[in-house]
This record gives sequence, structure tokens and C-alpha cells, in this order.
Amino acid sequence: MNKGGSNVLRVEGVAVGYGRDQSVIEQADMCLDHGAVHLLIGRNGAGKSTLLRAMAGLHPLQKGRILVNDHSIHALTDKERAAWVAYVASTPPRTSQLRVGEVLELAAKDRSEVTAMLSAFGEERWWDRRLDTLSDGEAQRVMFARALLQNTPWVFMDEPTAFLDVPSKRTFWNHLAVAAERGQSLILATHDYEHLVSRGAVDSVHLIHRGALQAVEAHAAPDEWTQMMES
Amino acid sequence: MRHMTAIAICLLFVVLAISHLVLGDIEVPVFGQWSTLHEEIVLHVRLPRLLAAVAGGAGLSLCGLMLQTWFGNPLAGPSVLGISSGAGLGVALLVLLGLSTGWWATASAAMLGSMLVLLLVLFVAHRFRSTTSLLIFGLMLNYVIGALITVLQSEAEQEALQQFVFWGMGTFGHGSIETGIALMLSVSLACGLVWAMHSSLDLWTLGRVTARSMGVNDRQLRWRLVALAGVLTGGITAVCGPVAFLGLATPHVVRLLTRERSHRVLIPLTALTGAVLAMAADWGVKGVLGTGQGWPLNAVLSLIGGPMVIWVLISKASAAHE
Repeated sequence: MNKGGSNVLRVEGVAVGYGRDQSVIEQADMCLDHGAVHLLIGRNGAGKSTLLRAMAGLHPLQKGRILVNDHSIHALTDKERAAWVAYVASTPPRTSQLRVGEVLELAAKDRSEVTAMLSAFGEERWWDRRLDTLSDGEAQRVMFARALLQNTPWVFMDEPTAFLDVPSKRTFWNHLAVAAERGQSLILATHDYEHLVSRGAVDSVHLIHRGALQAVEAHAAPDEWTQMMES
Repeated sequence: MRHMTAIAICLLFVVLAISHLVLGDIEVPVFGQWSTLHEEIVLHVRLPRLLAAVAGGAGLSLCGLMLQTWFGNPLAGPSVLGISSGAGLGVALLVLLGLSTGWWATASAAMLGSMLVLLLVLFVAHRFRSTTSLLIFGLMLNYVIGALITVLQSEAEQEALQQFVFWGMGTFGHGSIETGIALMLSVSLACGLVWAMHSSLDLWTLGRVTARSMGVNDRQLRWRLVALAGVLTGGITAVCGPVAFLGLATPHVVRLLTRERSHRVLIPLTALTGAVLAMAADWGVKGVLGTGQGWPLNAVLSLIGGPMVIWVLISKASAAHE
């Protein structure tokens, strides 16, 4: 999992937004350790998704730089970047008619990895089902499995539990813990953090508020974070 | 089941290809001695027409598949988005202004025209949130380009005008053996290049950001699409004239015939089915139905393609209501 370089992700003096001057986040600095679970939190429209996409190298920066194991993520080619980071979008694809097995095979090295992943999810019967026949929650779980199969040191997830039912959320948290134990680093932009925090499964939390990013105590009571968001 | 469909389409392909070579006013024996007349008919009349139909059908259908995947829009196709009209405008400028009528010049003008229109479509496409807007944009482009061609026609010399009108009717039967072979080779090469992109096209169905996160270079993919769709639509339109509906309808016929949705399978199957549909339509043109004269190619194709579009619209609408 370690691909060399200092084993951290650094966000240095970053501004992100849309167009040349319209910034959503004006100043972001952080350093995330490898092999851990990190949260990005904030109110709707605070810029979590934009920052997360930028950290995954999928959204341009207005200023600053983002280094993954000492490599500027925006200087990598698409193929190189796909070996470093995986990304799960907030909404699963709704129109793709590929079968689940085919989608997973696009990310995996071989078929046996796909079989193992589907059985780890307890969903072997999904192999032949078409993506557009799954519910949003099911499709989102497929996209999560797809990201894990990409087997990258860093995995970024935007609202990964938004469509999940309660049992699926539990399974998702378990998979998250397993991935972190395997040495993958998981960065989640989410509103759904209380359960993770109460399990002590979170290593760092960053709050985005009024265009700025600040580190908050990862083991604090989430109520305090809510108050900070309202301030 | 998947192999059965592929085998059935291959068989149809072979049967139709042979039928086009041997059947007609003068029948040519499949086995047995050919006279000089037989050779002449097959080599200079029937084979060029067959090559144009196979290459035209396969190439336009692949264009349709690529465009439908790229835009995530089942109703995209070279004729719907104005790309065929762009090729037509290129040819119109060349022929009606009396610049040149050589095959390479016509083909280059057609390719350039279709690439420019596709670039314009790609440039504006991301501004449209609804897929219907993109189709209406294509429809308007078709009107505007059609109007430009009409203006050019009204200013043209009689001889050039006749030549252009003749070309504009659309047929697989205008080309020579040389243009047939050139078209077949270019379409085969383009098929290979499209097939080489099958994983990227599969990933593209998962959405742009996800595809990029999995290593797809979207800019490169877009330029390849422009080049391939431009060369295919332009080259085919230059030889066969504007051919309606084939690009739009074939991918849907394939989706009806097979449950496969991976481009690894869809690409060869669409090319093959496109060739089969083009050959079948050409029997309508040649007058297999006993009407003697036969029907214009675009009339035959519109009779198949029009209902196909309506069917797609209705099935999309009922899926949205569920």
C-alpha cells in the first residue's frame, strides 16, 4: 500500500471554487496520516464535496497545492492518479447498464478479486444484475466496492452513506474499518458521523465553515461541532 | 444465448453479402464458371455497392454507439446531432462552388464539416442540463445547415446543382471499386481504434468524474471521439450521401437483440448489425419487394429509424413514470 515518499497527504494554502475568482474555500491547510479514517464535515454548501474532489485531483485548484506522498496530485496523469487515489461520488451512476461484475472487473486486477469482494459484501447474486436495475443504495455500495478494488493507498468518499439503510450502514462501517486496518486511508465528506465517532473509528476531523478549514478534536462530542457550524 | 445472437448476425451478414453479389437482373452463379460479364458486374457494380453498404452501415452505427455513450443519451446519433449535415455542408461548399469533385477532396471536406459540427456540439453540450435540449440543438443545427445548403444550391450552376442533388439522395451505389475499398479499409481501421477504447467507454457510463478517477483521460477520449466520428461520418457521407437513422437505430437494435452492455461486445456487434441493416435496406432500394424501381435509401431507413426513435422515447417515458 505504501508507494514511497512521506506517507501523508498535505493540503497547502489551497483555495478551491468555480471559475477563476469564485472561491468556495479560501484557505485550506491540513496534513493527513496514512492508514487512518479522516472526516470532512460542514453544513450543506460549505464546500466539502469541492474540497474532497480537489484532494482527489479531480477538481482544479485556484491556488496552493495538494501533495500525496510528496507528489502533486494535480501533476499526475489520469492513469498515475488512479493508482494513488480512488473516489466515490455522492450520487451513484443511474443510467449505466453494465452488470455489477463488469463494473467491478474494470477496477480489479482479476475476476477472483471481484468474487472475493462480492462475497465480502454478502452479495454474490449481484454479479449479473445490471447497475440501472439496482436501487441508489445498492448502486452506491457497488461503487464503494469498486473503489476498494482499485486498491489505492487513498480512498475519497463523498456522502457514502447517504442512500444506505441502517444494516447497510453498519456493514459499510465494518468495511471501512477493515480497509483502514489493511493500510488504506479513507477520507469521508459526510453528515453521518455520529456512529463512527462513537465507535472511536475516526482519526481526524476537519470542519469547513465560512470558507475556512479548521481541525477539530476527533474525539469530541459531535454536538460541539454542530454548535461551531451554527456560529 | 450471447453466442447464438452473434452467430445469427454473422450468418445473416454472409447470406446478405452473397445475395447482393449474385442476385439481380443478371444472376451470377455462386459456384461455377463466371463469364467476363459476370466478373464485370460483380467487380464494378455489385462489389463496390456491397462494400459501401457494409462500411457505411458499420461505420455510422459505431458513430451512433460512441455518441450515445459519450453524451449518455440514447437518442444521439450522427444524423440527429447535425454531424451528417456538417459533412453535407462540406460537400455542398466544394461541389456547389465548383471547387472540386474528386473523391479525396469531397471526403476531406465532408470529414472537416462533420468534425466542426461535432466540436460545436461538444462545446455547447455541457451547458445543457437536459438531454432533450441537446437533441433540440442538433435539430436546429440541421435546420440552419439545411438552409445554408439551400442558399448555396440557389446560387449554384446547373451542372453542379444536378451533381449535388444526385449525391444528396443517398445511396450505396455511387462509388467505384476504389472508393469502396478505401472506405472499407478506413472503417475497419476506425473499428479497431474504437474497440481499443472499449474499457474507457465502459467507464464513461459511470459518469465523468468516476471515469476520470479510474484513469480515463476525458480530453483524450473526447478528441479521439471527434476524430473517429468525423472521419467515419465524413468519409461515409462523401461516398454514400447523407444516410439517415442508421447511426441512431442500430445500437438500439443491438440492445434489443442482446443483454450485453459491455462495449467489448457492443462494438463488434453494433458494427456487424449496422452492416446487416444497411445490406437489408439496400435490398429495399434495389426493389426486392417487386416494385421494380425500388425505394430511395433514406425512405427505407426512415421507415425503420423513425418508429425506432418513437419506441425509445416511449420506453424512456414509461421508465421515468415507474
